[in-house]
Amino acid sequence: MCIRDRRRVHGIYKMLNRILGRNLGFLRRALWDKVQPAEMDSIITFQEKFKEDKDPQKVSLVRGVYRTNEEKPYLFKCVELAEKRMANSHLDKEYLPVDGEQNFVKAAKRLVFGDDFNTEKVATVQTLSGTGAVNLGLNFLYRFLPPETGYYIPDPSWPLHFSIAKEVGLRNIFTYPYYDNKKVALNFDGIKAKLLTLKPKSVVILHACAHNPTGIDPTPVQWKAIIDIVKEKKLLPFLDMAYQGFATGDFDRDASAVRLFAKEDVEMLVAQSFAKNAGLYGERIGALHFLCKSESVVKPILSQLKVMIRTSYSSNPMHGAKIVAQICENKELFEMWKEELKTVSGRIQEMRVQLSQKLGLLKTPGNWDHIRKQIGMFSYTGLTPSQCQKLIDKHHVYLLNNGRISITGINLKNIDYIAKSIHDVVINPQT
Amino acid sequence: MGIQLLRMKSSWDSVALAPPDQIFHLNQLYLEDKSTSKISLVIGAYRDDDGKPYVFKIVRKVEEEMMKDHLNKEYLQMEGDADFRAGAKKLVFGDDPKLLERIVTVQALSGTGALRLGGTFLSYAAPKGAKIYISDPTWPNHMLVFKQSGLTNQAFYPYYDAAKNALNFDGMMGELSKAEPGSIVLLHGCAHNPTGIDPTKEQWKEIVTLCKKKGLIPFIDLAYQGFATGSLENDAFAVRLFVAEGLNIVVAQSFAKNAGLYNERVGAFHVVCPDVEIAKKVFSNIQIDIRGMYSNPPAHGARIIGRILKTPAYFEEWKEELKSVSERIQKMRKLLFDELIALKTPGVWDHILHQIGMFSYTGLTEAQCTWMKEKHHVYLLKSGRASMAGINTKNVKYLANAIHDAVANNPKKQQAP
Repeated sequence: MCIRDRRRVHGIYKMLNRILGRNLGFLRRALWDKVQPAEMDSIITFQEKFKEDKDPQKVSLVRGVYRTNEEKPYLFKCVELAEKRMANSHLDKEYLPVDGEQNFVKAAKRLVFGDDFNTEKVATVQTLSGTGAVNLGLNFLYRFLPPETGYYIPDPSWPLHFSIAKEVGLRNIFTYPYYDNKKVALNFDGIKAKLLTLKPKSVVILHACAHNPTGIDPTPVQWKAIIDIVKEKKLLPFLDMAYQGFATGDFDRDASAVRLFAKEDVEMLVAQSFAKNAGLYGERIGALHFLCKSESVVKPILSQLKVMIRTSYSSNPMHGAKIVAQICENKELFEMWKEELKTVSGRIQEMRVQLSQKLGLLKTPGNWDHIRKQIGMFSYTGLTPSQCQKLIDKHHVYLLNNGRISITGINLKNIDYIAKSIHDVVINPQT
Repeated sequence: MGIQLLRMKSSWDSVALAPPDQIFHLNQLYLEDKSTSKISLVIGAYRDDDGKPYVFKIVRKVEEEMMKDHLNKEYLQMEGDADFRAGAKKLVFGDDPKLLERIVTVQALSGTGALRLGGTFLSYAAPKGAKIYISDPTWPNHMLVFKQSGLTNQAFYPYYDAAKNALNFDGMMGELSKAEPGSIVLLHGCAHNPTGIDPTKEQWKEIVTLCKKKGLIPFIDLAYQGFATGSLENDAFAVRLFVAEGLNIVVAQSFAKNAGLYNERVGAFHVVCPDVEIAKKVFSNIQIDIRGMYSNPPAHGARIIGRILKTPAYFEEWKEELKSVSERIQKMRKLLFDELIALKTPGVWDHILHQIGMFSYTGLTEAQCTWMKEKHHVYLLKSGRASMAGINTKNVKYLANAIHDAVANNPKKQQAP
């Protein structure tokens, strides 16, 4: 049907609507007409393209999931042992309390805040991994902060921070500078300058360690300065900690920013994920913590969080929570976990060093030190969007078009190919 | 006063203490009750004849097998485990591939998660401001879940005839006849919660005809398939009737009860679409909804169900177990009924026999329920809803006596003319 005919049909339709005085939408399958094809975020899109690529040399550096040197997923031994114990205990499948598996909640609190911290002032609920924690936290803030509250996300950040904020219905979503792309370093002055302009109770999302996508974290001194501004301007920090133990292999070290905030008695939210550090991606296990100035607000906060959970999915899944609880409660399993974390984060570190060295040996123009120095799973290579596109199209090396690579996709078999491919796109900008 | 001054001012001082969920709260009181003869008929969770939680044998078997397979813990797709989705879809809708290919199925966080996804989907896909009609009474969480998902325009249709302890079919049809086209109707696919009263097959046919005539969007909550009558096929009758009559419905499906996987949060949300092209669009939208809520669903429970549904021998074992648990419930209904008759408890108690599924709307008044709790340590909702799963051969006499005592001491007030 040509456009003119369509308009005519639509006009007749509208006239009928007026004449009959009621919505004829249902005759036109109204339920479906309003549904337009939806656009997925870039991580999923790039991963899909990689899946469809038939090239035998293809490499994916897209997704933040750990791979062994043999390109296999890694099942933590402590997780397997914990599962065996669970199977032997013949646990029932009864509903968990709405706020989560209680031993898990205790363990999650201790892991974040340390053994010596007074956790009476912390309201904690189990969540559906980090995404669920951010979603629940933002939902709470949406409900209990004034509607004009501003929400500040670092630029760049994990794309889902924006998707979740949108899903929750937040309107005042802004960014603050984070990354200096000329120096490939933290834009510390930019962060400070922006935070100093914010109104009290503005929500500031911060990555507790292993910033995604840049891999660039503030130093302890820089964190102290940020905390001072947060206190001075009465801002509300929301720390997203998705890589505790995975960044440096050391739980305490990776939680040092969070603990600095806690020591300064700053009220804050912490989203915690066990997807990466326990390899429990698909079991969706995480937690949301509210550190409060006084114990008296903990119960009301918990009660409201429980209502939000109850009206979203009633209660949390048991399996992942029980695994983490078992590991944390058992000295042997906990030590095993720490060892395994050192191994996996060590492999990542090794790949960073080697890639950096190989680019140096190839004499690829530019300084590639940052690949070695950045922290965690990801590296912001500094490659331009067109260089990234060429990396994908010509060499079948997949990464995000902002230059983020997941180091986990690199191994001793493909590292030379990756280095040569990067070298090629840098020295030959034209195709 | 001094202590008040010392306490630091919190950003959260104005956060009010939310009222506890009535069902969980009542169950908590039960848990804290020290009486040795206490009985809980509160939560819709199956118990065996010893009053113990029950894990399906087939579930244990499959879990052991999964352990030996050393499965990894990779992210599922946003839409969930593939085997699970295929199996869950067939379970509800049958085997016709032409039909199945135009049904969007996504894994959800049990029934509640499916309802939430459904509410979210309808909040942007249904006509703007569309009203959702919910039965009076219903599971209390329905209203809250839909409100949170954006379906804030809510109305109720009569469902329960208290005097006859039966379905108020005329009332229901009368109210739904007044609905605007594009309105959503929430229906319980089988084993209505809390009443246990379902429409007959003939009545379902009339409901379907009405929905077609009025252009209503049926939203079916299927939380007890296989658990209601013991037959998965029978319990899917209503859903399949809607689809056979050409209606494009949405369905929230739970495996909490029928596979005893309460805490693994296994469910699915289905959208029956007019064609494959529309199904693709709908699917992509729901994927985004999921991504923004929790990225992707938990794997463990879905993998268990996926395996059961795709392995014929396991599927048969599951069906057998389902039959036996639903038969135990039916036996308990009969035992309780017999006891009340033997005690000559005032009132008519046939409804206990005829109601379907886990719950019975006993007809007990709030005063009678309170009496039972305080004098006999028997816990049930103040609406009179009792979970029959909490009854067993060891406690049924005690229960019957408690009911008898409550009724004798708290006669029902006569309705004002």
